[in-house]
Amino acid sequence: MTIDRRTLIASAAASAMVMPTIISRAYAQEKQLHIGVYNSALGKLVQKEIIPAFEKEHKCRVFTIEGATLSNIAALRATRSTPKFSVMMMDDVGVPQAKQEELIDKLDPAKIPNLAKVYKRFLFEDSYGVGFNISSAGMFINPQKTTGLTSYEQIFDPKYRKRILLNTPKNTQSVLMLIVATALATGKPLKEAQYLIDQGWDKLAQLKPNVLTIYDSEALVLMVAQGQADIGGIDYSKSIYPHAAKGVPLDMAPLKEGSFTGINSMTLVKNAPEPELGAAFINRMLDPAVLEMLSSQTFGAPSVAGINFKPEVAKYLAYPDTKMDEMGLFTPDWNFIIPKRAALLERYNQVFSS
Amino acid sequence: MSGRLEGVGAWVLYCVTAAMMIFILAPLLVVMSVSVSDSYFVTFPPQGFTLSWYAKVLQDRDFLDALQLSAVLAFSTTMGSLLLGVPAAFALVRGSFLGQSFLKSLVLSPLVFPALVTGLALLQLLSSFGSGDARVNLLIGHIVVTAPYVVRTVVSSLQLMDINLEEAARTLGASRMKTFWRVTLPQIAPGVAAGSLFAFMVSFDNYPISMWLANSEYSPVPLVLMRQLVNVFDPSVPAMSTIIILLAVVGVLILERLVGLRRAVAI
Amino acid sequence: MTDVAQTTAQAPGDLDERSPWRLSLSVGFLALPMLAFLSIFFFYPAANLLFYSFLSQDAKGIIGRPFTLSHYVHIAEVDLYLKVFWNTLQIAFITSIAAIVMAYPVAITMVKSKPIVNRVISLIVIAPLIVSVVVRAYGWQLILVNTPTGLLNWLLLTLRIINEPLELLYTKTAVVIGSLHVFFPMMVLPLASALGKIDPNLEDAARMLGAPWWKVFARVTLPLSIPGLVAGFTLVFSLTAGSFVIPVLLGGTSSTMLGNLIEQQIFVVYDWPFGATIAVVLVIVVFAINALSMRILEGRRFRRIAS
Repeated sequence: MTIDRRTLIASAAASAMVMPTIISRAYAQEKQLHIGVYNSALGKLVQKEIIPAFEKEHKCRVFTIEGATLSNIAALRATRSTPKFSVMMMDDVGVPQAKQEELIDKLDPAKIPNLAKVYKRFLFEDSYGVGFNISSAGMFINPQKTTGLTSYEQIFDPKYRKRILLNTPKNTQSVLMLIVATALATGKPLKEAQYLIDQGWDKLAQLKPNVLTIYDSEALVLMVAQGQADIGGIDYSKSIYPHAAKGVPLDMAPLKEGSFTGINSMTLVKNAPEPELGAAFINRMLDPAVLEMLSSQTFGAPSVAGINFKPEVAKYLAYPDTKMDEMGLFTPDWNFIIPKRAALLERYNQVFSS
Repeated sequence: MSGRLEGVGAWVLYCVTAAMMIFILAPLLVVMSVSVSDSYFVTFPPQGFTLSWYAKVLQDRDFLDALQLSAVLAFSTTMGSLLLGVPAAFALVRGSFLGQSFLKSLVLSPLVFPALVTGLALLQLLSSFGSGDARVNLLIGHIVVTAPYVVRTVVSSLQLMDINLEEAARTLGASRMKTFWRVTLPQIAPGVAAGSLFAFMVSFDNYPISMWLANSEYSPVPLVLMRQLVNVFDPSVPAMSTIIILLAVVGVLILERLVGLRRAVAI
Repeated sequence: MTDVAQTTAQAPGDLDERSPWRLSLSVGFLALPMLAFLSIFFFYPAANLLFYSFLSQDAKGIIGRPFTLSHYVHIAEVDLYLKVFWNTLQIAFITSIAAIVMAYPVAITMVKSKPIVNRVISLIVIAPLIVSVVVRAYGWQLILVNTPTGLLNWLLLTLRIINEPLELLYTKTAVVIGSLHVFFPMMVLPLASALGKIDPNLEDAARMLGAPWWKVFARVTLPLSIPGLVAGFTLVFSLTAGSFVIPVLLGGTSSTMLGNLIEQQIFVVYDWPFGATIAVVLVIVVFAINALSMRILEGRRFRRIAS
């Protein structure tokens, strides 16, 4: 392979040019842990509030990539032959797929003692994934401007022409919107509609005139607070309540069709470098004190029992876990939906991007 | 230069030019003006006045790391592009061999190749070789798109150059090296300067190549900005932007003093 | 590689020892380092990408044989891709034309005014190049916001030029405005360079013969500036067609571009073969349009000069 050798020579020459100028970082000899976090405020919290202390304690340097479920799984696939990441965050929806593709490992309670504290319903696929922050998912509004929104049917009203922000088809939330459209088209409840999603596309397409833009970033929910749009979604309460708690005019809309769960989870990568350190990180994330901090900031519920929250935080949380059932939060059958995910993305693009 | 403008035509030209200058400056000024806004989210007109966003940004390690990386990367890219591009320009102007014009279009082809695809193709190549150092990958990717700019600017100044001067120097007994350094180089200096300027700028501002080749450890400024824009809505993004705009203005003013920007027109 | 560059750099000196033919050939070797570099890091990977577009992917996400044309068939069959292609071409083409129209006055003013004016214009045109495209698109976001909180709407409403806020952000128009802003220098600079090379006496002569300014422009200035125009057009067209940031930040549902679909295929779906296929088609289309425009523009120049 002449090309290999040439490349080597070229890259050697190239690196020789950069080397003297990049002052080698002081932590070069330390252990490195690569983690995929969420590209959201939650990911930022992990980076700013959890990782620095963890680095200090374990004398390591933690690097993060930020992404949503699908792109985090894509990162695992891309590094399948030479695993780089140790811990990967993804929604509960991604766990069955990542397990089936043999990208992740079973979580070991011996190495992650805090697993014992986790509510059983948040251990997925026989402990291949563990939830750590649970939101509800639905439409969000500016309560000062949009009132009387009680059903998903209303967002199709022409009075909202170009006034709705739609979550990107790259995110899990887009699938939830399709289930809603199916439920409206078929008149069936969400639980049954999820198996009929092929029948929901026509209804979903009717939303197009009302869509101002497809939003890709959690920060854009503030466009609704600013009045650039009236309604947004589907999104997680953790993207909305932190702003609401600071007095920004944003709220989740109470819709009669019900809401979904959004469960942020973690997985341990198969054949990961630094598996012990990775397990230690997951254990740290599941520490009740850490989860309490995350919940107080994101207003998503923790996955372990026995935490007491102040009333002004508790009112936002589906906590303890039985409150989820009282609220009628619904978790779709991901094993049914996930094999269709790539096709759903294309179809979504087809409906909205052309 | 003669041929000054007069009459109605001149006024039309001046008005359009002035309008375009406003068009170019407007978004930058807007970004700068909201960076001192004392509000939870960016809004126009800006409310209040605060420098706290700058304080926040200047402590942001990701941002500072990115600034350093981008500066070093742009500088190395410029050096690499000169090393490859200047000799290639000589070959294209001074040589005469079969397929010369074909060679020229080959060498310039990365300019008209969608950069996004260049980056994608490189990512695929480099990951199949297992080249893990993002800095090297970024450098290679950036040189691919910047070296042709150097070729282009140096070619145009070589074409304008009076070759008799070199011959005169040689006849008067100057060595080859001396002729190159004392006669040739000063004449093509504007082209080299313009090419370097472009290589530096294109590298510093590159997104479509970097988006594929950067990783969590090494992300250049445009990627970090984009990530910030996605994650936060407060005026820290305009503050970062303003810092970059000011750096750019200072850098370009210094260059203008040193070499004169008119030469960059040679692209 | 550095060594190669240095040893060959001495080659042009062999003036007297060799025949002119050998001299010019040895000068030709100076292009070798760059050619080698581009072969490894540009031509080979580009060819490899083409190769990838014929591969298939199994259920576990492993890419390999059998070879297939199914990705190309898929692109042709699903109208999403056709529409996005059309969007991309439309946006790139309108941006390039707008850039040409706006660049002529600026470039002519640059070339024909006092040095100080020239310097100021150069500064304003060039300095933003180093300011990230992300910042510039973001600036346009703030200006084009569809409610009275956007600068433009706020201004127009305050001046009572309009009564209802305009819908600009998240439209194709916004993408064109952003692209024009970002790639405008790539049109002005080659154009100014070409205009600077025109002998001013030619224009003066035409004017003295009584030709009005627009006729001077159409008959003398325009034809002689075609090389700069071609360079600028191909740059702006290619850069716009391959953009990613601008449609993400300024575009809406109707302005998705091919770059965005490629990114989705690679980073979200991890379908390399299909991502490669979209990329290949994008490249082919960009090259075809560039070649076509060059032929038209340069053909026009030859006709003009002949007549």
